[in-house]
Amino acid sequence: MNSIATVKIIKPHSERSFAEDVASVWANRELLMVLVRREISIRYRQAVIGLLWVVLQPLLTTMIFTTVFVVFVRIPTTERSYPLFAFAGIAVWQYFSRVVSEGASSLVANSALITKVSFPRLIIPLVPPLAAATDSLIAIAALVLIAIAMGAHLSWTLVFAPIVIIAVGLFGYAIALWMAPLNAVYRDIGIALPPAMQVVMYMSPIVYPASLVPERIRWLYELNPIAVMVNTMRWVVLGTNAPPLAGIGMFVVLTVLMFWGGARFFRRMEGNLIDRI
Amino acid sequence: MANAIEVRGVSKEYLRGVRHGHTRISEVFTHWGRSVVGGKREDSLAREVEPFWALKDVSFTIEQGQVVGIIGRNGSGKSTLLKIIAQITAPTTGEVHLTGRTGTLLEVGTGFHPELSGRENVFLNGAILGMSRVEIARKFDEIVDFSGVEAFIDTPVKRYSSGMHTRLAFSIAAHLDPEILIIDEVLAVGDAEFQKKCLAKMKDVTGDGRTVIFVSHSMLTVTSLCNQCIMLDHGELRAFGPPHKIADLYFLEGTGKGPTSSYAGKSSRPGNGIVQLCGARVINNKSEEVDAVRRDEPVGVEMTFEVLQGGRRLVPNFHILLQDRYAFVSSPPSDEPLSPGTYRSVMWIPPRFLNNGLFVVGVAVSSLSPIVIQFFEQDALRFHVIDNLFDGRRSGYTQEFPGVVRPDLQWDMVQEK
Repeated sequence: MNSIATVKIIKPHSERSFAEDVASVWANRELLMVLVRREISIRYRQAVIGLLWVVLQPLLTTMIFTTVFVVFVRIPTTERSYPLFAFAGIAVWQYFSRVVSEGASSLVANSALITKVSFPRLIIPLVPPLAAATDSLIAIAALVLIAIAMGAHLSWTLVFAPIVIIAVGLFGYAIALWMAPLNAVYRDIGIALPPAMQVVMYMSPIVYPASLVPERIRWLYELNPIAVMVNTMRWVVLGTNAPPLAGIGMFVVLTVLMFWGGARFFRRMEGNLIDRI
Repeated sequence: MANAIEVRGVSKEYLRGVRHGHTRISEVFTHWGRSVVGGKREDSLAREVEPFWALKDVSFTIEQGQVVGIIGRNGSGKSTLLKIIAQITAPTTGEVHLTGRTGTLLEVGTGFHPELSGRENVFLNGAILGMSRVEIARKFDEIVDFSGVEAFIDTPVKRYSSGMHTRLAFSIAAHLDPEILIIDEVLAVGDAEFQKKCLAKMKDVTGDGRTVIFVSHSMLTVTSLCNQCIMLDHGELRAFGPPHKIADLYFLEGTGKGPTSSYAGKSSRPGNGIVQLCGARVINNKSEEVDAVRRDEPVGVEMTFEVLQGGRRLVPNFHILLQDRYAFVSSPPSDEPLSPGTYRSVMWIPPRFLNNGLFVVGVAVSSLSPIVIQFFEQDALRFHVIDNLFDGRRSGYTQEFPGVVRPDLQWDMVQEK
């Protein structure tokens, strides 16, 4: 039969390297794209207004927070147009929070798949960042349109918006690499995650400006990776103040560390995962 | 031939006592806490955890092109073995070497999404099973045609009947084209007509040089499709060989009886001062001892006995039972008085007469006028009759037939009106 045979060796404890992980995900990119397409095509199916929800979700949230902060609380907004500021924050946050929460539950949600078919498990938590990225891009496009409609000044740095989305997706994926196997074994993670995400959201300048934070701790506050992500997006699209370089550096270092460690952790858990899920 | 699958000393340990997937974080913290505080080691989780070896040092080699069935009772480790070969779970120790592109079918319709149409699900499931998009597109018409759901291919799968769902799922699976195919019980699906199609497809698949390994509960399927068989027992490899041999072992399990009984020492022979049994065996038409015969072969049951006192009308007879149900009793037509000496008599059971299954033979010699049972060895011999799923008279019926015998009878059928 085949003279050039591929030999696959199944060993007890995966001693794959990070490079092999990346290579195996790449080798299975077709399956990954099929799963991403499944996720996208079922999300708004049998919903009357379908894709419109992608824009409506951040829009409705923005309207709520605008009412609360501008009409009731009357915050001193340094940025003139609060709705644009909030919408940018919410769009980024909704993407990040979807990547983390869907990523964390992905292994459990796909247990029917992973107990029956073999493929690199790393693909599973990678589906939410890719599937949700389209929603995120559409939301940013909507932000741009609204900004134009409101006569706001747009920065040329707008072209970097997709890169910011990729960075947010990677950071979320790195977190999901830790959460997904943990949640498969300890369902506590899935229960604790939503309130934890709420806390993180209010600790970050998503719906209120950083200027509300006492000056003494603001430098610390601005190192928060979520704050960096959100402020970078605002800077890129709306031309607000750039986040501190130290913050961006911290974000990059943190992402790399979380990603590297997460991949290691995931690999360690992967071998016996299906016996414990 | 090159080796397709090499399993080298594979063991798999499960931790019994740990509630898998429900280990609470509090337990882990308690455990850590104790070890930090310096509590005794016995107090740790280790005490509650009792290792359980689902597989113990299993090794075997499968050559390219072989069709191998794995059988064993519940809990024998056959599914675990399959999952290791399919790379779904990792072995605790040992290695598996696979040479060639593998495809796994542990379930049909894995990843089917109810909201998606049949068409979308074909591409989705195909990709999950490891087919490329191009490959699925090329086989798409064939898959749909085989499934018989053309009319509903653009309908969401949630509107399908369960039969349609299964048929579509199986069609995709049946068009999987790897060099090594790993299957679990997928034959047990669908209605009778579809089962027939599937079996024919399986026969195709197993005939064209690819390596197939599958787990089944049905000895009938294994003997019909496989040319090698692995029997597992409590996680250990009991036997590896031709299916009919293994089938025999499988059914004989624990009885210790086989196709021969011989009584060497005169003192231990069944019988009395008039006649004694020397031995008995089951043979095929080449006079070879066999423990299993195909249903379309004749079976010979032979006994050797020694007449010590002549002049009696002695009648050797065999009692044939399927497990504990009587099939028949048979004796030779003549009952002339026998002179002292050693006799051998063979009873021939025609082909296509017995049903498939494990038969038990009682061996006896009786005398007539007056009727006296000289000896009766109730469970002297056992043999297995093996059926072929592709037998024409089955007409595609894949289930077991009831009854101890299953003769091919003459049927007349005419259309009256």
